[in-house]
Amino acid sequence: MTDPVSIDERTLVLRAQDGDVAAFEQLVDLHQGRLFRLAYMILGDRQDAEDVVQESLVLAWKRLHLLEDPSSFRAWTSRICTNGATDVGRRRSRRRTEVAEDLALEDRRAQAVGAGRADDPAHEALVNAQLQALSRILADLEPGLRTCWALREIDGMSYLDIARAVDATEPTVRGRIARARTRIAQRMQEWR
Amino acid sequence: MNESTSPRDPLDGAATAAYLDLIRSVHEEWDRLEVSGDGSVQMSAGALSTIKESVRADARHGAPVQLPPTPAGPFTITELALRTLVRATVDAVPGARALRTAVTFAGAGIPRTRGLPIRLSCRVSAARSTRSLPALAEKVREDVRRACRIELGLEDLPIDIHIEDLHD
Repeated sequence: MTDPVSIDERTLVLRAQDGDVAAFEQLVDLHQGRLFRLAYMILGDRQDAEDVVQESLVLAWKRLHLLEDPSSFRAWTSRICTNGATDVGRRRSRRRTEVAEDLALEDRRAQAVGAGRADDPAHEALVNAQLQALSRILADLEPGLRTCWALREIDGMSYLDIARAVDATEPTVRGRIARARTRIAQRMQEWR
Repeated sequence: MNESTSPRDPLDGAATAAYLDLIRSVHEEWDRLEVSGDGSVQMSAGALSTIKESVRADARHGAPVQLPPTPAGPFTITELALRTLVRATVDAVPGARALRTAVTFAGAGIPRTRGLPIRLSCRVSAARSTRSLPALAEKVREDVRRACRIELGLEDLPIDIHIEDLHD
């Protein structure tokens, strides 16, 4: 008889492709933590990160039959999650710009209200201190640097896979990560 | 994760080492916290439960599959039910674990409906301790054929067994 606890990931993916919901639920349990941290690093907000991971994993379930190589499930879900987080980040910054422009016309003092949940101490208390600290450092980086760095250092993805995920060349990815590392290392000295 | 920085990386050796050390230590901490169930590094229980509910609600049942009619009338099942039956039957064989099954159907002649299953190809993983892989394959074949006959009314369905992997 099959012992569900000891099943390896490739087997879980194949069984999930066969329609086994329980196998996919095990995949959810295995990957949710790293996907959450990846999304949080890109977005800096717990609720947004949870929403993105939720949508990403449900989308992965819907598209699982399209995944040709079951061994690439990890990189595939990272790509879906990163794309989702990048879209949310883009929409959020556009919304903030629009809000800021409106507020500038009415009352500049009210801008703090539009700063988002990331600045809410009660909300952030739910997130690990080191995750928060790294996320704050990342917030100062350009989105391209932030995403490449998070995929490399948080998700452990290869340079080649990152290049595929962000649609850039491998040397570009290496350059972005090196620049991000330098700036993060400098900032890390402050909270180490 | 431990790959060194690129040659153009302006960090010096000590700074690089300190940086990598810090990254390693935060990963260790996050992994430890995740294993211990600490919610600060992972999805909340509520969000996880929502994902699983959505997945169950969106299970791909597939098209109806025509089967030999029973004395009482037509008999169809979904592709999902057929796969689930095969998977459960394979899993019930000691030393076997179902991976994925491909089904060949006859033409149904009805839109969005599968005809009679005419062949099954079962991809299976075998326990490393299995003494005879051919004997295991034969047992899986027999049991799946029997389940298809008893549960679905399919007589002498050809069943291909492909042992794709070995597991501990």
